[in-house]
Amino acid sequence: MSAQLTPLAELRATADGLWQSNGLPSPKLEAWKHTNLRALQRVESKTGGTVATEIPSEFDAKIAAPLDGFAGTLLLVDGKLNLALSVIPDGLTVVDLADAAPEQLGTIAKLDRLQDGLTARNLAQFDRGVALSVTGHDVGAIELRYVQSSEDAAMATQESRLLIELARHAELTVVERHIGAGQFVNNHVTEVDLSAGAVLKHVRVQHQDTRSFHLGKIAVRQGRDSRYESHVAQFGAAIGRCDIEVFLAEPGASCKLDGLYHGQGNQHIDNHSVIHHIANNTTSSELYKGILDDKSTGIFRGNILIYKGASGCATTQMNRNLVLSEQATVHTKPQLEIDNDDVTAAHGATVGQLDDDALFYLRSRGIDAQTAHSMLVFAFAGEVVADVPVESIQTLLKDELARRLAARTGLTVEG
Amino acid sequence: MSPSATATTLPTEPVTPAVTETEATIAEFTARGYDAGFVTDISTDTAPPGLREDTVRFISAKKNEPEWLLEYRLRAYRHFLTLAEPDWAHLNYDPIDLQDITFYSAPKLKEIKNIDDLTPEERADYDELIKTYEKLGVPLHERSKLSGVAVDAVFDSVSVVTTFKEQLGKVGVIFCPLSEAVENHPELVKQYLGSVVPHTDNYFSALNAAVFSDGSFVYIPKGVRCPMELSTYFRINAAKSGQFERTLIIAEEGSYVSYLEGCTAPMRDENQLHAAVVELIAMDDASIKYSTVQNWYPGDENGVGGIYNFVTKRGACRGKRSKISWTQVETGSAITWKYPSCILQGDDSVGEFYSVALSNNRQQADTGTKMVHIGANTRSTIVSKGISAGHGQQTYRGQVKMLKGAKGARNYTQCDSLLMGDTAIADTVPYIEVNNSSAQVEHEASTSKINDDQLFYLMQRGLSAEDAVNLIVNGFCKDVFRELPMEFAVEAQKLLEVSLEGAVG
Repeated sequence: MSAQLTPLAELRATADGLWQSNGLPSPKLEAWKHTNLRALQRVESKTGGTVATEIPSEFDAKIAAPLDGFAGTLLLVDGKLNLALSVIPDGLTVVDLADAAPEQLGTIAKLDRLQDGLTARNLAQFDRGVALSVTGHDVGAIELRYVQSSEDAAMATQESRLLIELARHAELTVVERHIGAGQFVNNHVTEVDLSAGAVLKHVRVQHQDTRSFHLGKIAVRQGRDSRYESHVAQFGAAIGRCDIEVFLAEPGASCKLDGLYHGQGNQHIDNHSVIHHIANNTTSSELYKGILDDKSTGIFRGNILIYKGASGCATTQMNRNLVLSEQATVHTKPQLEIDNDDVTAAHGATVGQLDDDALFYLRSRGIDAQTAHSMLVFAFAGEVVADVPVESIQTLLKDELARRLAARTGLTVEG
Repeated sequence: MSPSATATTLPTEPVTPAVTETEATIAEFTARGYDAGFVTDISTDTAPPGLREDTVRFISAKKNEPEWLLEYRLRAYRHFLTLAEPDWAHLNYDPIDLQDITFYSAPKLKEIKNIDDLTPEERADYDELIKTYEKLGVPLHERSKLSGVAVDAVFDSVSVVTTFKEQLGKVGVIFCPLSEAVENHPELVKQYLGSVVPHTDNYFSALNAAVFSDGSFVYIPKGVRCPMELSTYFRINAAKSGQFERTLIIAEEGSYVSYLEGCTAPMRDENQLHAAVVELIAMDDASIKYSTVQNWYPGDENGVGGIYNFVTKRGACRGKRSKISWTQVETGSAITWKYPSCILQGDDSVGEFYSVALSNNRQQADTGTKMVHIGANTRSTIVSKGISAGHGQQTYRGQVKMLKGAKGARNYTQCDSLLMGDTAIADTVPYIEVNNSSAQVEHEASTSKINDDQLFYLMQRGLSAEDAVNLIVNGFCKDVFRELPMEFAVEAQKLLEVSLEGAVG
């Protein structure tokens, strides 16, 4: 054994230092202004941090049944890859991070950019997850299904990681479904590296137990003319936070970030994004739609940076929120930072309610209040859902939304 | 397109008369520069530089202030000592050395009762003062052309002249320097001073509360529509001095007032600090229109000198159906840090904010507004136009907050940025916080450069590049200029032209 550390090991040591010094992000940080992690801290201190749960051998095969339209499904139990119940398509290379850690890790979700300790903690402590890479042509769509081994398991913190590398002109669609039940903390960092001309469609359906915490960070580095499409749907968790940071590092790269969130009860759903237009002629578009009900809180913060010298960039950003309850709260901050004049940039944000006239119209046609209400909410969400790449996932999102709307309480029937 | 840019991109093109003409226009503009940059030579009464408790007591003593006001100042000063300068704004500047600033500087000349009684030296000072304001185009004689406007002229730390006081007094309007109001209407000052911007609000408001010198005091009694526009002209003259004026406007039930404010300063190589506080209070059905044309010295093209403008302006719509409207044209200052805000407390009250901010050369502006909706059916409109040229840096920072009780509240925000040159910077940072389901908020923003097609079209019609840009910029700012009183709109337009000179390209 030489004393020489590999670059990754060195990075992990630095990350550990950062975590020790920074700790959990406090609301004093601008990026965490509206999200207080006190509840998470309380829960974690009770169990003393990371608890690795055993994967039961007799795990139900039903839980791994593939959805329509997918070439493969990877089952991750408590964040760990279960190879036996997974189907890996041709052309996709999968590395279990419990066995090996590619050196690429930690180079895209860079530590020097961190204000908080969460991503650092993940890099220092992660012990599970997968690395996916595609070198050939389009391998189609694969699903990563994140489930919990047991609902009754002791409160556990999972530091899981996902790395997606696409070689030149490779194409892939990845759908992450986080559907774990029980009270747990999922600190999940995803890194994406797209070479020239690569196309990644990346869907995340966050539908964890409402007692759990989802802390997701996605960092993307894009090469020349590559394309990244992200669709984040957040329905679950007590606190659901998703941070996306995209580096449009080479000319012609483009990205699209879409999001849909629906908050009920006391849910706190937070979506953050930063898009760096570093190179010439890079384009981005962003559309996030939020539906906030009961006492839920919805947060959107989108920051778009156009670097000095990055000419010919174009960007649009929009956040729309529908507030369905008196007690719901919305915070939105669409932010532009532009250091170059050769640019077209537009952003916007709205917060409003269902249109009374539209409701009245539907009811005058004999549609009951509940249905009319649902129809309008559906129409509001439809714009985002229609762009989700796999049809079975679109159906799944619609069904979920319908289920949640049906369970809605406190609907006032007028007239 | 500047002539040099044309020459480099199209080297084969011969120099046309139009290009020569453009060059000449630009040269002429550049020579014109900042025409309020002269210094008035006048004898002054000055406090020793630096900020100590003594300084606060010195200012208070100079003004013969009552005990309660000195106590207020000292409270603010002690609180100020516990604060650190805020650093969240997108501004880069050398730290301000408060111990290097003169906090009080006033012309020796006191209020003039009879010109004939003056000694020769006083007479010379008097002439200098009058000349200064004449040069700046501010009428200090009541018979002058712009007689529809009453003026309070503030020179460094004191108000030197206030016109039309008597005529306004006839309808019950009080328009006088704040120090005079402390003497004659202490009950009003005591009641309202610091009630909208408390001394604990922020670093600069605490500083101001401790060392504020003169500013205007306006009181419009119940049901009175102020018969003329009121205005204050702020002039910084003394070197190394700071200006810390404080303005207080109270509009009683059913009244209306339109207040204008203009500012200039000499060209100097060192930075000077201006930290003002403005408080507006509107009761039931009252309406206050507050317009600013800010033309402090912006510094030279390399960013040397210029005024640091750190201002806290806030209006409280206390009454039902009250309205406060801010209009600002910010062309000057090296640094601008300013967020005129409205607290919409009364039901059905209205807040407005119209702003044009320009930063050329090395100017930096971090400006915007806050609209806090507390009452039901409150409405606010924000229209902000930022223009950034050269190495200029521009940030719109705004907050729209809808509290629980603000049922049916509405906000519309539009903030556009125009960039000229690839070294200019424009940021947009809106915060929207909604805590109730019946509020509606819309925010729209765009950032782009001057459209080449528009420029080409105008130049092809025979306009010089400079004129074409001016025309486009004017069109861009029209929504805001429309809100300004007429005289100010003309001045604002001219200012914008001068401020943009040499920026074309």
